[in-house]
Parts: sequence; structure tokens; C-alpha cells
Amino acid sequence: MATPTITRPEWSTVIDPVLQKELEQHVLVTNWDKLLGMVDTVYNWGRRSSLWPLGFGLACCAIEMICTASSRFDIARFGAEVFRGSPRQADVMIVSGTVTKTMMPMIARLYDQMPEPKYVISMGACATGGGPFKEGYNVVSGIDKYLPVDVYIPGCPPTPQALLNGLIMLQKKIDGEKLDIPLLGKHGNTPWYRTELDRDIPVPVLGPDLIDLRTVEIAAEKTAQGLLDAREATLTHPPKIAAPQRESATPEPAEPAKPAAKGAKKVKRAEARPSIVWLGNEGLSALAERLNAKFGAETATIIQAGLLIPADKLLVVARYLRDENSIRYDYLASLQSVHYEDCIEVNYQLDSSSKPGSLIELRVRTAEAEGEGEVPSVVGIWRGADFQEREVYDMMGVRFTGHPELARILMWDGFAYYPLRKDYLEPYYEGPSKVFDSRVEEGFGRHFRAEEVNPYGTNMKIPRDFKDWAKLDAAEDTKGLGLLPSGVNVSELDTDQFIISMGPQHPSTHGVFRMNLRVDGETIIGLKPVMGYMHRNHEKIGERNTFLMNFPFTDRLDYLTSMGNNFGYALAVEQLMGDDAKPPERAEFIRVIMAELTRVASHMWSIGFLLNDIGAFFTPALYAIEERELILDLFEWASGSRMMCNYYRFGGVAFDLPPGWLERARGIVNDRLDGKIDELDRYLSGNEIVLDRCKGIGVLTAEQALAFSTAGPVLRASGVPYDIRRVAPYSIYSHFTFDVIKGSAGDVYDRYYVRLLEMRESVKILKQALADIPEGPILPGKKSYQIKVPAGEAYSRVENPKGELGYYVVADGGPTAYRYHVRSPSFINLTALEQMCLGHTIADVVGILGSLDIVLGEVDR
Amino acid sequence: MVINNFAFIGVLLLGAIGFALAPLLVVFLVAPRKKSRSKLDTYECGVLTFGETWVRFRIQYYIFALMFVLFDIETVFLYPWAVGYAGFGVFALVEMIVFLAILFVGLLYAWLKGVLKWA
Amino acid sequence: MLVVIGILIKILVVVGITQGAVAYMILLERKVAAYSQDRIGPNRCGSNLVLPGGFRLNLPFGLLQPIADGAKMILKEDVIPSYVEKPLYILAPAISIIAAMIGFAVIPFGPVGTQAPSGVNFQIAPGVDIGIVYVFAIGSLAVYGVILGGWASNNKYSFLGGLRSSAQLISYEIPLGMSILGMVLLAGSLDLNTIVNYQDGHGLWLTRWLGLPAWGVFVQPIGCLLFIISAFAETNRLPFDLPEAEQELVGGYHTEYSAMKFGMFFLGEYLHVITVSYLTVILFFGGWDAPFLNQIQSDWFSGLLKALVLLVKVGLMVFFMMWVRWTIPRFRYDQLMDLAWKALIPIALVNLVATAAIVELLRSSH
Repeated sequence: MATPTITRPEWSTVIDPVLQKELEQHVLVTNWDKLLGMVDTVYNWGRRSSLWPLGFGLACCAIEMICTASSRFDIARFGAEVFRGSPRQADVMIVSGTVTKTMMPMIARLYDQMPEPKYVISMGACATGGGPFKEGYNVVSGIDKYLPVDVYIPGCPPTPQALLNGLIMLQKKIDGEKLDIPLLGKHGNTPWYRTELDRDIPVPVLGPDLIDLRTVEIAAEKTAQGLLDAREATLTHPPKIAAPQRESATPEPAEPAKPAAKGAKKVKRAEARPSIVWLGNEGLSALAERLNAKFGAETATIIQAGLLIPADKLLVVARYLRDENSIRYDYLASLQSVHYEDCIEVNYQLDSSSKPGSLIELRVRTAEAEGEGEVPSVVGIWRGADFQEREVYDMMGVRFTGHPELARILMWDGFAYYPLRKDYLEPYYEGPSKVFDSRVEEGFGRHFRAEEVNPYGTNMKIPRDFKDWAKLDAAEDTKGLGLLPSGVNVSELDTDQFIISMGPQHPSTHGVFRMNLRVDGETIIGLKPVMGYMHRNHEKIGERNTFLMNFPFTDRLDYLTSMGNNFGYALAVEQLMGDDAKPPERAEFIRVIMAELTRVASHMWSIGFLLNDIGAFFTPALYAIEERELILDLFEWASGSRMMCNYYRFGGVAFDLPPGWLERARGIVNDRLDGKIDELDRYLSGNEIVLDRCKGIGVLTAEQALAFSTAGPVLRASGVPYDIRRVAPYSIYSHFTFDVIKGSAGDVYDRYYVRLLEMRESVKILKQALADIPEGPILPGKKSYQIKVPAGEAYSRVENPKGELGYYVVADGGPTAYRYHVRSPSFINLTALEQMCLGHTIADVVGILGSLDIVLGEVDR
Repeated sequence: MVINNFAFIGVLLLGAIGFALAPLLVVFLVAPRKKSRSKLDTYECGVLTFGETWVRFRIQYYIFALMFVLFDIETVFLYPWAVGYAGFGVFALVEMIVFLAILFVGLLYAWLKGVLKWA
Repeated sequence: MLVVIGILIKILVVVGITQGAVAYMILLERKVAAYSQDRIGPNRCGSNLVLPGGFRLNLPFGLLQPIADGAKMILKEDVIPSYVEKPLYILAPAISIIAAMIGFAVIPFGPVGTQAPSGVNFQIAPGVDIGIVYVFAIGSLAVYGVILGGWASNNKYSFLGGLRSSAQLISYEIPLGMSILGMVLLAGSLDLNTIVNYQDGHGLWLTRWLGLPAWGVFVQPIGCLLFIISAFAETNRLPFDLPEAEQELVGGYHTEYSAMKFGMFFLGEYLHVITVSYLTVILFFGGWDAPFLNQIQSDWFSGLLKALVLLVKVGLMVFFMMWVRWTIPRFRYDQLMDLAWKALIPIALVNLVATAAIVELLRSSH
């Protein structure tokens, strides 16, 4: 029997589309799908409006991330200002800065420890793809090699606006998510509900290099095949030059004896002097004669205005220089090493607190072969040599006999190479000097990425004989285990001591710094700083960069003071270039103005964050940042960038000041800054709790401060009036009247107060400079991209806000620096950290670290 | 009537327990669950933790606890005294001053002994 | 029967309102923080919201922020790390919030007793005549949440946080208890209503002479100061937020807590702030007493008005606590302990004796 067919009248199914739309807008028309869709809307709305970031900053971008939370940008508007210290409470990880191999396991673990659903914002060029540091040996070329990234933010660093935009993009992405509810037949894209999916990533291992456990078999196979060695054999290696020899003894024969590798053209030589202000040739030869008379002939040989000391006599000479010499060399300004063809030279820049400005350089030479060099450690004489010697050991493989704790400092124990040796080529090595062929069309016929030429496809280099693949284990902390502070036995009634690792991700370590603390209850009885989590190979990259190209990299050292960093680097190369690069007067004024503005901005930041560290939840910091923002506006106007100004050039500056700049700068300096500094002074300096928390904490006596080679406000707060602007005047600082501020107690409070007063002095200098700035050219000649730098070596010193920033540059007459070393004040100031913290409590450690005012970009370089 | 009032507190307690457990239950029902080895590891700034956390702690804490009990009981004694003070007269004042003085001496003793010194 | 239903409704209303209040206090805190720091604070959440049916909702001040936060927390994975002491780890936030909630039982939210409109009591358990002792007893229970949470997490930061809080909270318990003895002595009762009624009355001759109301803050200024200081410590608010101490201990006792468990600690903390603010106002700021309100009136309108007065005062107190948090830095641990044992407790004792002596003096001079 046929079933009767029901025919509907047409009007019942077809609704006028216009009417339908109208209805949907004003009447709640719903069906099952739409209802299910509304679940998504609610689900997404809650999460998009409450994205709490993990309080976690890696590098320069982190500064901009903090600025995003500051008054001008205020990420709080989006409900995202709740930066959580613990990953357990965070929703989004903002990877803000260069991801280094040393840091990668920590980032992976933190990511894993975040609860689902979790998101990753890759902030800035470095996090996205390695950025300017990509060819570094310790840099992961993009966080997406490991973590699933949701939003990429371009920029170096991205401005706060860009981060806000990134956040909005992430919100949009969340808006598009659909719940997976199989029970209701609803399909979506929320993988965290799918039980079969593994969302967390295995923590990579720091073996001979950073090893991703997901691809370890492939890596092992390729290593056994020796693919990387084969590739390296085809590349041009960087040249090695011979160490400078005594000129009077062998005047010329050295030249013909060596067949000129770089063509017959004689290399122009710079004037031999260790630094612009130094002891002088007469003084040096007198000193050399004295040394030879006292310790036997050949103790001191003058080579290029430095004293060559045989390694076995180093300690006696050093002790003599510190204790008996007419000028007491009690301050080890800098210590670095150069890899020459025939030796590794360790050299020491020494200065005196009693007669500052009489800098001398000692040279000690040792075997060139890898891991064979040995030099006696001078830690017993200048304790400030501690970290610097470890750095030389880490980078060059020179062992320092008698060093109390010779462990790797920037890389990790187990890293297979000594990366600053000339024969070490980075995994992404392409050539000795930029511009690399892969960056131009003609080179290989097409652009390619570094990953494509490295057989591993990632920034990895593993020695061919490495066999222990099976032993690689993420549960071993290769970087920190060797640096556990030792304890003492405790009696039965006392607290058992335990070890806390504070950092690398911690709200108050000012970046990815880590301290292994041994505590008795809350009292610190041992502290070992662990660093290198931000080591992004500045010096190695500096050897590939042409001189001019290196400017933007110096910006990223201490990313709060890019102008000051530029200044020091410009001075170092100008010292080599001599009169060719003498800046005209207007340029000198502009340089000083920028450097002093930088000092104000940096000290503002430092004071604000010191207060934050002792518990004043960001309020002083944000007020200080407001002033900093105004200064950054001036920088941006003049140079085009807020943070990474790249403004100085050899012999001047990049651009003249734009019209109106000076008026605005005068307005800020004359009418505003003084009042704001008074405001900080009024509210902070006398606050009971600030006094309680800062007075008598972290005391460093004048002798200790000198012995530890501390610099800048840290040194001056201990009562040593040592300011490079005065003791070794550079640029036109001798024209200005200003006082060198010094403290007396050397405690946290004095370091704070010295910074505050220094801002006043900077404003004083700024007022004079802004009043007197002349018209005129800003460069000695025409703007040029071809910089010819004569061979020689130079050590420049500038008084950066953090302390003495030194650049040691060895040029061989080629387009790049042969050796390029940065004496970073933040790094060396940390040497004194353990001394300052012992006996204090965990809360004080945070304050003491804040008072040192470190910036990790500069500590680890 | 007083009994009744404590019963109300009991009801409130039940409500509070319900209120405390409800979110946990809801979370248990609706939140995603994903486990991995490193997620369940102890958090310590991104690195692995060294050694034991649950260590023996010094006797100082015990002394503080003792002092606390002492003074808390003192306070409890003081309450009825304060409530009834209006009807007691000078004798109560003198007696309480003596009581407090003894305790105060105890506090001073502890103070001078260095017990109150932290760390 | 009717009374029981009334009480149940009261419980529901009180619980609902306090929970809502707590949620919005967190928003308020964020706004106070923002304005203290020359920022705007949350203002997007709730604005430009498209509802089904095409309605657009535009709420100012980020008014839906707490709801979004709550929704997110419920939908977040609740990680229970494998090394924790599981039962205690789960129990700790619950204790924290339960203790904070039942503390409300004896707190009057408006006029009670003779001043209340007939038939209505702004109090869950009006007959409990040991009000203050009850509040303190329950308040001490909240410590367990923090201590257990810190200990059970098996995390060094949490452990230190828990340790700090155990010492801090028991130390401040004493000055907190002692600071109010003066008021108890003057009012002659532990019942909060009686204390408010006392403040409504005559007070001592000095306050009468100065023309001030007999509020605790005027008749017991030192007691008031001690109480507020100890209250800050008891609620873990800056400058005494050492158990959390974000800059030192990352998150302190709640470092390992995620999602709703963390949220419950948060709620518990703010509930505690409300309780303490109510206590402060009732003990020292005259409760629902206001100069323009006649104490005799006990009609509905004035009853509500008085409840409102109390609410405003509590709001100001809460605001004060937030203001302090975003203004000053934190004490160090040993300084905090010193403050309790070497300053607050002796001062509290002296204050008590002095009050008793003055009362005795005044009585004998009559």
C-alpha cells in the first residue's frame, strides 16, 4: 500500500531572505547547532578576556613587555596584566626574546607545567626565528622549533603596541575555537580535550649541544656520517693572525718571513695604546724596567704598549703591581683573551684607585692548542677576575691554575667546544665575514635559510666521536648541578639546609638569571650565580660583523642603555681609526646628550625595579617608567627606534637632530625631570620600610668593591669616587661641571641613593649641553659604509649607567674585528653578589640583586 | 535559643563546604586533563628541584609556638575579665596588673634570651 | 519554622552577596592598582559584547572581568603535581574558603538588637553572644589552609611560604586579640551588637568634651591602630604579604596551585579582607552609627540606611587596605616578627592596663 505523500505548501519552508536576516537580528531564532555554537561563544569569551601571561622575560623584548604593562600602554585594559610568577596559574606564555639553547629546556619545562588550555605568543624576531642572533652557536632559531606558537609578533623588539596587537590576535584566534563534544555530536578544534593527543613536549637535553629528544635518532645517524664536518671543509675559514711581537727587537723581518696571506698590501697600523687615557709610554717603560730589575730580565716586555709577562711570573708581578708599585694597581678593569695563530693571549687591563686613569695592559701568552693553555689564576690578587677567568676558560679553553671553581660559566659543562676559538665554526657558519653569500641573490643563486645548509636542519653541531646518545637524559641539570653551594654540617636542633634554585624564571631576577641558594630556614649560607641563559654569542657574531654592522648588536647588550653601548663601541673603533674619525663638536654634544638621557632613563628603571623587588608592587616602577617613556620618545624621534637606537657612527652620529628636538628635550630636562626626581626622592628616600629593607643590607666595603672589580654606582656607593667620565675623560665630558657622587656605607640604600643623585648630575650635564650645543656637521667626512680600520688593538671605556663598559677590539686590517670583547659591568658586578648576600635572607637577596641593577643581555652577552 | 544559633552556624558550615566543593566538582567535570612527566614535576623556576623539600626545621619555630600558646591563653583569660570589669572594682585592676606583669616579665626574659630573634 | 526559613534565606543572600562582592573586590583591586599607577585598568571585558539576537552590551569599567576570570578558572586544567600530598593539597584551598565563609555567621551586616527593625536581624546567628571570640577562632582556622597548602605542595617556595605564614599568623593573632580588649572592657561585652551600641552612646569624658562620637578609634586609638596593623598581617596583605611574597617566593604557598584551587585561595583571601573590614568598622568606627541617624529609630527605612552606612564604611576600609597594598613595600620576615613580639604585644598590654586604670579612675571620681 502506497503511503500518502504529504506536500507542504511552499510558503512554509521558504522565508524571504531579507526577512530572515531581520528576524535573526531581533528575534532569537535558534536551532540545535546554534545553541551548541553558543556554548563555544561562552567558552571562548571567558578565556579570551582573562589571558594571564606567565611572568617570564627573556631578553630585550621583555623590557617592551613590561612597558606594555606600564601606564602608557596598559595591557590591563584587556584583563591581561595579571603576570603570574608560577606557570601553574598562567594561560599564555609570551616568549619575549632570544631563545638560547641553555634556556630551552627550562622554557620547555615551564610550558609543560602550564595547565591546559595554554597559548604561546612568540614576541619579536628572535623568538620567531632567531633574529639578529640566529647564527649564534647558542641560539635556538625560533621557539617554534619546540613549542606550538599561536601568534608571532614581528619587530626587534616589537613595540608595546605590537604586543597589544598580538594579544588581540590571540583573542581572535580563541574566538574561533570550537569545543569538541562527541556526546552531542559536536566537532571542534580544542585538542586539549582529546585524550589521545600528547600536547606536552619532551624537555630537550643539554648534551654536547642542545638535543631534541624527538629527533635524537636522526641526529645520531647524521653525526656518525660526519655530514657537518664534510660541509665545513668546503667553507672559507676565518683567518688567524700572528700575535704582535716586540717591535724594537725584530723591526721588520717578521713581515717578509711570513708570506702575506692577504695580498702584498701592507696593513696600516693604528697607534699603539691600550686605551685613550693610560699610563703613557714613558711611564710604561719605566715600569717595565723596574719589573725587569726586580724579577729578572725578560719579566716585562713592551709589546704594543702592553707588558708581556711570562706566565710563571704573572703572580709575583701582579702582587707587586697591586701592593708595592708606586701606583697601586688595585683595580682589575678587564680581563680577556685573544686566539692568535701561535698562542692564546690573556690580557689584563689594570687601573689604580689612588691614581685613576693610569691604565696599563698586561699580556700573558699560553699554548694555542685546544684545551692545553694554562695561566695562573689571579683570583687571589684581584677577586674580580673570578667570573672573567671562567669566561676565558669557557670560551677559549684556557685553564687557570689555582682558580677556586673553574667551571663553564656561559655555556654548560658538557658542551663540546670552546666557541671563541678561531677554529670553532658555528653550526650555521657560512663565511668569515658578513654579508654572507646566502643573503644575496648572486651567492648561491637563491636565498636560503641557515637550516637548509646545516645537515641537522637545526642549529646543532655535535662532534663526530660522540657516542653517549643513550645517556642523554632531561632529568639531569647539566648547567646548574656543578654549581651547588656547599653547606656546613648542622646540629640536630637546627634546620636542615636545602638548596633552592632561584631563577632562571623568577619574578625578581631581572631576566633569566639564576642563583643556587643554600638556605638555613630563610638565611643564605651559600649562593652560586648560574648564568649564560641569555648567552647569545655577541662576541662571536661581532667577529663576523663588519665594524659598522656591529652597532645594532651593541644596542642589544644592555638593552636599557643602547645609546651608551653605541658610545663605547664607537670610541673603541675611533681609537683605532685615529684622526680619521674625530667627531665634530656638534656630534660630541649630541653624543653626550644621548648618553646622559640614557643614564636618567636607566637609573629611573633601576630605582623603580629595586622598589619592586623589595615588594612595592610596580607602583614606583611605573611612575619611573613614565619618565623613561618620555626620554625614549626623544630617542625614537632622533634615531627612529625607541630602544635599539643604533644612532652613533664612527666619528659622529647617524642623523642630525630633527627640527624641534632640542626644544622638546630642553622642555623635558629643564622643566620636568628635576621635579620628578624630587618626587622619587620625597616618596622613597625616607620611607620607613625602604630604610628598614635597604640600610645595612648587602654591604660592600670600599676595599671589597675594588677587589671585586665592581663598577659604576655599585663601586661609588661603597665610597670610591671612580667615574670614568672623570678619571679617564672621553668625548667632551671634561667641558661640563658635574659632581661624582659617592656613597659611604656601600649598602643597598646607598646604591639606590647614588643612582638618584646621579640622575640629578646627569640633568645638570644635560642642561649645560642643551644650552651650549653648537650648529655644525655631525660627521667628520661623508657618510660612509666602507669603514677602513687600521690593524691594532684598542680598549675603550665609558661610564655606562651600570658601570664601566669596556670594548676590547683587535683589528687585523680586514673588514671585521679579529677579536671583539665586551667588558660588561653587569657581569663583573655579579662577582660580588655572593659576598654581599651571605648571612642575609631570601628577601634581601632579591633587594641586593635589584641594587646591582643587572641586565641579562649584558651579563651573558 | 543559643543552641539554635549554633545550629545556624552549622547550616552555614554546610553551605560553605558545598560552596568549596562545587567548583572543584565542576572543574573535575568540565576542565581538560592532560598529564605528562614534566607537567607533574615540581615547579622550581623552570629547573629540576634538588634534594628534599620536607626537611627538619629548627626548634625556633617550636619556641614561637610555645610562646603563642602562652600568650593566647593569656588573652583568653583576659576576655572574661574585660567583660566583667565594670563590676569588679580596683581589686580586679591590681590583680590583672600583677598577672600581666608576670607575663610581661616572661616576654622580657624570652626577649633577652634571644628567643625572639628570628633567623 | 518561619525563623528557620528566614535564616536560610539570610544565609543564601549573605553567601551570594559576599561571593559577588569578593569577585568584584578583585576587580576593584585591579582598578585601584591601575589608578594608583596612573593606568586605566580592565575596561574591555563587558564592552562591545554581541549577545544572541543581535543585542549589543556595553558595560563600562570592565564590569564583566571577574565573571570572565571565574569562567576561565573553571575551564582551566587543574594540575595536581605528582609529588604533592594529595589529600591535604586538595583540602587546603577548601579549608581556606570555608573558614573565611563561616566567620560571617556572627557579623552584623546592619543594625541588630534594639536598633533593628522588628522581625529582622542583619545577622546570621544573632544569638551567639561571644561574637568576637568566635570570629577569631574561625579566623585562625584559615591559617591551616595556607600552612597545609604550603606544606602539601612539596615545593620549596610553597614550603617557605607556608612556614612564614605559620609563624606570622600565630604571632599576629596575639596583638589582634589583645588590641580589642580595651573595647571589650569599655563596652563590657563580647557581643558585637553591644559594642556598636556602646559606640552609639556617650563614651569617655574626653570624647564628649571634644564633641566626638564614642567610636573605638577615638576612645581606643592605640587599640585601633594595633588592630588594623594586625589585621593586615592576618589577611596577608601588603606590607605583610610574606606568605605569598611574589617577588621572593614566586607565589609562596599557592605556587603549585592552578585553576579553581588557586581561585579559591584568592576568594578566601578577599573574604577574609571583608570579614576583617567589618570587624574593624564595628569595633572601632562605630558600626552602623552615623551622626545624622537617630539611634532610636528602628523602622525599615532607617534600618536599611544603617546597613548602608555600615557597608560604606566597610567599603572605605577595604579601599584603604588596597590603597596600602599598592603604595608601600614589604617588610622582611624577621622585621615582621620583631614588630609583633617586640612592639605590638607590649604596647597592647600597656594599652590594656592603661585603659583599665582610666576606667577605674573615672568611676571612682564619680
